[in-house]
Amino acid sequence: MRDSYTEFANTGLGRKLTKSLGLPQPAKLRRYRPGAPLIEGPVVVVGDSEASDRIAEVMLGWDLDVRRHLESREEAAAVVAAFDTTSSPEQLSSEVLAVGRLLKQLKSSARVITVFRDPQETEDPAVRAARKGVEGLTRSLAHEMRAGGTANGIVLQNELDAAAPGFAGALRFLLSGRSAFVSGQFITVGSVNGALPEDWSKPLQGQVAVVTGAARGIGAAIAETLHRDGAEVIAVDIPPAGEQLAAVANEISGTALQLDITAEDAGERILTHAEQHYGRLDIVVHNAGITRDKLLANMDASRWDSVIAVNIESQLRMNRAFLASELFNRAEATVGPRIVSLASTSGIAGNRGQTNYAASKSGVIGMVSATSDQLQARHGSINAVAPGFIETEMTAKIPLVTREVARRLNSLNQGGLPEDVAETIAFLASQAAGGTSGLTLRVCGQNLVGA
Amino acid sequence: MSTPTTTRDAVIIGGNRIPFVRAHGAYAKASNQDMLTSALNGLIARFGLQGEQLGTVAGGAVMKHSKNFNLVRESVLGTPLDPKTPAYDVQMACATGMEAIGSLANKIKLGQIDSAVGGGVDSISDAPIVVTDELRGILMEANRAKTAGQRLKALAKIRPGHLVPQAPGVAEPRTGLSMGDHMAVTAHAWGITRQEQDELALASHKNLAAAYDAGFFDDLITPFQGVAKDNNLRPDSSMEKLAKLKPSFGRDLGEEATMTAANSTPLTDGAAAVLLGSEEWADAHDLPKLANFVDYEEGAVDFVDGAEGLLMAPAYAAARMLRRNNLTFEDFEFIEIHEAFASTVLAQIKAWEDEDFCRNKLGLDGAMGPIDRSKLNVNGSSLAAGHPFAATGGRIVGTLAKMLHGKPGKLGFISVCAAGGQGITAIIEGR
Amino acid sequence: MASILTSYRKAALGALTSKLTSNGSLRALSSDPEEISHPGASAEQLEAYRTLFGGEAFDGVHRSRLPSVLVHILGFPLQLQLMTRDDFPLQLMGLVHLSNQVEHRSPIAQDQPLRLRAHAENLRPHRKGTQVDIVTEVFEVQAPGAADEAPLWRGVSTYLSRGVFLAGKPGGSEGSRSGAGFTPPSKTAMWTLGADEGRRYAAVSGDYNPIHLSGLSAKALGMPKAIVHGMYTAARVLEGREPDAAGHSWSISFEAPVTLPGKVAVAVEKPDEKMQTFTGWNPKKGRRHFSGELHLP
Repeated sequence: MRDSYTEFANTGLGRKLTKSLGLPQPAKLRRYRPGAPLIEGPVVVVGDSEASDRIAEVMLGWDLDVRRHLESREEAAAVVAAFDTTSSPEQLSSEVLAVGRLLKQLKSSARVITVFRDPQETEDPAVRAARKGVEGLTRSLAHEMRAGGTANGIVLQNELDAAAPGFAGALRFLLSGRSAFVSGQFITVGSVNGALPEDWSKPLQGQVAVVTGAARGIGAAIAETLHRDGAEVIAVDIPPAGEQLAAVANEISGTALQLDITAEDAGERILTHAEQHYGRLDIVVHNAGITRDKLLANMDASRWDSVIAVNIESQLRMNRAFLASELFNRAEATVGPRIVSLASTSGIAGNRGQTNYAASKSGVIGMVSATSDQLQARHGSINAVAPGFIETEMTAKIPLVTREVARRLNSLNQGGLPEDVAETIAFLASQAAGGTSGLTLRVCGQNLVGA
Repeated sequence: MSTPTTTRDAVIIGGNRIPFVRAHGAYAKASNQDMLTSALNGLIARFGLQGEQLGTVAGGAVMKHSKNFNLVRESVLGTPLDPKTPAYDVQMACATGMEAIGSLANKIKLGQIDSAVGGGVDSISDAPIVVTDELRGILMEANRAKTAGQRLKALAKIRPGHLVPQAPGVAEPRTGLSMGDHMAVTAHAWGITRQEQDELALASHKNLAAAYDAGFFDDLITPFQGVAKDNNLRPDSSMEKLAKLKPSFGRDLGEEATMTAANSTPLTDGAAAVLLGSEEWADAHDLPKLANFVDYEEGAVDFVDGAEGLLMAPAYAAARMLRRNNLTFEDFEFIEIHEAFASTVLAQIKAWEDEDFCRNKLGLDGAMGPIDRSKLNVNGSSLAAGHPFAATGGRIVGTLAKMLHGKPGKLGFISVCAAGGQGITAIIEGR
Repeated sequence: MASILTSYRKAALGALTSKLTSNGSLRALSSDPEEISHPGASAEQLEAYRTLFGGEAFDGVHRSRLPSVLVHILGFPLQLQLMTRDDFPLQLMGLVHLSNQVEHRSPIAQDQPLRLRAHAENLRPHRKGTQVDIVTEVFEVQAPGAADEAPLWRGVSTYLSRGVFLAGKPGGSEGSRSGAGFTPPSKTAMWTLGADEGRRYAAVSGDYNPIHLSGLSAKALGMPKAIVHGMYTAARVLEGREPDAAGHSWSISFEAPVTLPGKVAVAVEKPDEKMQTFTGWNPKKGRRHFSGELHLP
């Protein structure tokens, strides 16, 4: 799973060589490490709305070096641009150009974050045009970012202002190394649900999470990340994967639950285990999934049915059990249960040979948006994460050339790591993300494939 | 000084084992320590015992290298348990696992310890090979030699015949008979038919296969080295297939030989462990309480000159144990009799159902039976799962405790025979 | 006392000289006894015996008295001496050990000095030749001139000389094949005897008869394979069954010889508390090797 090219390109010789040959120059991404500063260097706030002041205040509260202006010799670590009051496309100009002037003064792995209101919430053509405009410029800017930098947006819904805990949570996530492989994406904050943690290094403290498919790959990374963030983890996988599952559980001081999630009573068995060992269940991560690739013309029933059964039907069935249980419905103040599902960019853009897989992953996206109301009613949330090209045992099996092309087909010129997906899941599973629900967030380095 | 006059419950919290595999197969390169460590790791993972300091861990292996003198302790050190967890080895042939678990339960009942893991492991594939006594003598002499000359002189005594390694015998040391040949004598004496034995073997395979299909073993087994299921299991076996096999034991009985490779357990590699605790300890650790370990009894018979069958000790132990607890076989919900051989199970049952035997040998007023066969080994036993000697006790206790979970007060009976004319019976109670 | 090897050498020589009288019949049996003093069994001898047959240590705690076959071993050189005497009517080489009876009346300790006496008696016909009893008696060493007490141990070894017939008696009824129609009882043990079992017993007993030592030396004497000593099988059966305090008696009859290496199926039955019967047979061919009885006090 090593990306030798990225390693080489980050050596002195490699940098010279790749530059003179016009080859992609993948940067070494800034990733979250417990105890490291949230972000190092000045953060410049652009815009003069009330929200921009709130944003500055929030960030000052995190002891960041918050600026309105930057000296010519200085380098900024991040730019946060507030477009929340923009009501026509022509009003974009001053803030956008101000952001533009700062781009040449950005450090590596810098962040540009736009903040605006949901275009769908206005019927005014000029206002919606302006808001959609922010989307477009953010996406394009993400393509223009260099040296591991990303550009993402935070979309405020329902007249929320920047004081909502969910907004601070999203802002911190995007500034941090947790979002290293997230670019060109938008996090919607739609409610005042959620709460900010007392200790940002343990955002899941006291929480109990179940992770399916936890024996290896992304699932194991999720389990480890949730544990690092303070959660107690129930690691679930099919019985034949039990040995690796036990190793993961023992590594993170969790408990192993060998279970076929397609079993009728899978949800109940998870609930029984959680009740017995922890007396609570706060977070469900539906990670388990399989691929059985075949062109549709050659697809047989077992390939189709097994993918649908494991990747989506099981989740629907388990969610019904969870939502019907007392254990999972115990809201504490403004925080309720959280579900995060694994979707896929195949589910968004489609992929040759993956009609079954794409159907199941699109299904996940549909399930998440349709279940959101039920979770929000419980002060909880349900979201999905759609990984792009991630360096795993599975993708290591892709032929070399195909793999190299797939790796570089994104704005960051490299594949993501299982931990990048895990970080995003840990964020969506945290109370700080409580204001976000029904969303499918891509962790793909702004893959060119798909929307 | 006062000794405790009341005891507390010893609670079976759960079990874990690795799949049992036929010897010289999938685990051929795994050591006893590898397998026991893996079984412990699975148990720790299932119950979240990482970093926990347990009261003690006890178990053993029947086939053991001398380097493994501290097998269980070494295995514990390879797990995420607190290294301050003490451990010791137990050896009682095939009853090793039962003896470990039973004695740990007693310690918990007495309040000496609050938590424990008992179990066992065995590997035929990794069995120690021993040199001849003569060669050992020469090597020891060479080892004691003070000069190179003395050493050479000692080593010069080695003759080619000394170099023939001695594989560990499965024969009883005092009779030279294999366990199977001993059992063949007993089976013949009790008039146990080939048909009965094959039926029992078939039921074992069918029951074990059904239990797997129902997911019964999902929380009792953790895979090891890519094996997820007991590989001796033959779900598609049939009476016709079994009837075709030639006898493997008691062949000198000619036409009357009844014991085949299918109605005898194969040599097997594997490991099993059971977590025990006091009620308070289980509650404090949010752990399930499947069943209580109520009582157990060791037994032994004088088998050397054939006064009693080698594997009949449980028949005697059961009589004493049931009398002490004022119970009869009718009081049990489930009966687990270790299938060393199909005929072992049948001979014990026939003995308990036999008026003369119970009067004359057990000193009872009449027969202990009848035994309801529908309660017998309902999720399969050693004929299908295999029998890594010291691991079988842990397999049975873990399985039976799960079967009794949610049936408060319902009782389960265990019988495990052992080499040397020994055996253990036990009672556990659902909760 | 002549050493055993000397006796065998003498026997080999004796084979060349005729044992027959001038009219072709066997000489009459002399009842003159052979008698010697013996210093008793040493600790080394006991330990060598235990190494071969297993069992508890002769350490004065677990057991301290001589097994009866070891007493037989002490007396065996005397038997050979008797049987190689010029007046002994049968050839030693080729004698077949048919049976043995022992009365072990009193316990005998390690290093206990003993007086051994052997005499021949009861020369009589056998279906296949002529048999004779060698009676060996073991006494406590007494002050000179004291009257003989009852022996501590008395053994009767019956040997057969094949193809040699007493004058006027061409084969008697005694010794008819009892092995015919043998139905093995339920076995209680299985012995696995190595190719070197004869050499090992020879080292302990001093009986280096070549038919026991190796296939090659046995072939030289017309046996297809080496065979184990009959008294080895007796010793092995008796191990752990004899009372240390003695007072018991036993007998064994040898039939088909046990070839080496080989397996012997064994059954020990206990009809009552004071009696055990034992049988050994070839588990494959079903031929009986030996049978006998042990009577406990």
